Amino acid sequence: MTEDPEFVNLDECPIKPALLAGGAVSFVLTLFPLSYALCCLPLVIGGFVATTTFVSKYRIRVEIKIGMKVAILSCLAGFGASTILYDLLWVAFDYRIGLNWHLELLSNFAESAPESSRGQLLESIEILKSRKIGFVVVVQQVLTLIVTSGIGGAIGGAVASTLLKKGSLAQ
Amino acid sequence: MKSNKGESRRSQPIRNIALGGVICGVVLLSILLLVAWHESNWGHEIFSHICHQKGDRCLILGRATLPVCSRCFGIYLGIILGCFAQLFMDLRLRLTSNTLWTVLAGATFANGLDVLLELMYVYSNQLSLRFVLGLCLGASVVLFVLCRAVTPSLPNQNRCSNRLPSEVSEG
Repeated sequence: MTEDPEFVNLDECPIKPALLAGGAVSFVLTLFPLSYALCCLPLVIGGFVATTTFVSKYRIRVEIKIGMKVAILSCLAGFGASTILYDLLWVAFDYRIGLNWHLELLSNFAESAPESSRGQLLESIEILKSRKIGFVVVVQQVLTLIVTSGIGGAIGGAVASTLLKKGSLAQ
Repeated sequence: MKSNKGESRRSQPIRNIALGGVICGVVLLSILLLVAWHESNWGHEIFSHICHQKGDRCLILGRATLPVCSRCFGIYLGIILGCFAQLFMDLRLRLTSNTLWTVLAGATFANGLDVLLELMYVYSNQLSLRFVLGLCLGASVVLFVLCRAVTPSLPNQNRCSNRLPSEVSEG
């Protein structure tokens, strides 16, 4: 019977499989506009899956910063890929994934909203409908990608690295 | 005395992460407040992927509506306060694992119950309650993560324990 070593060299644990797993989950969950209703939960789940995969695959426990790094990178990859696909479809076919669902959701919000915020919501619906893809939109998407992946990935990765603490310490 | 010194050295990376959390959180809150102050649609769009931004559920400061809902704002503020508490009070040495689990489970359950009761129309749109529950959830998650995080081993350290410092000192 062999015992696990106490420490594992982190360089011997490539993060690619974890990035693929977490990225795939982030890609699927952000491709459809679930995030409008579930806040940053899809990216928290994506980040959690990435760090869990990393920790489970090599049977290690990691410091919080390593867990967060893996999770944020996987969220960037997955959400980035879904944003690219969204933009490609928008440019090629003038089709935006989940736009109708999003507009319907905003209309429902507007119906039940008080007078003070209804105007703002209706205005944002009009802006959303008439939006054309261009440099400004792409810059906005890049900022969104960084902010959301940072928040969601950091939370998911930190929680996963805290919960899963069996195995050798990787450093 | 010696073990306290060692523990203090081992806690240093956690303090660094808490400091990073405070800095990133303050930057995020500043951006949120700036976007609200300028009533920027462009800025609101950036945060549309991490929050539903339903108008009547967002806090209004003066005439400015925040680009995230009161629960999300509470969570971000809770994360900052949790990091701040860890930074200056070193709660890692005081809170036991059971306390952390209880607080986290309580905060999660309270938020879930709030969502459920709203869906069942028991009450509607309690902005301040949603903000306070978000605050509790954010603070409890960050304390759970920071207090239970794996710390790197120091030279000449034989075994890196999974137990919390507060539990080790209790024997």
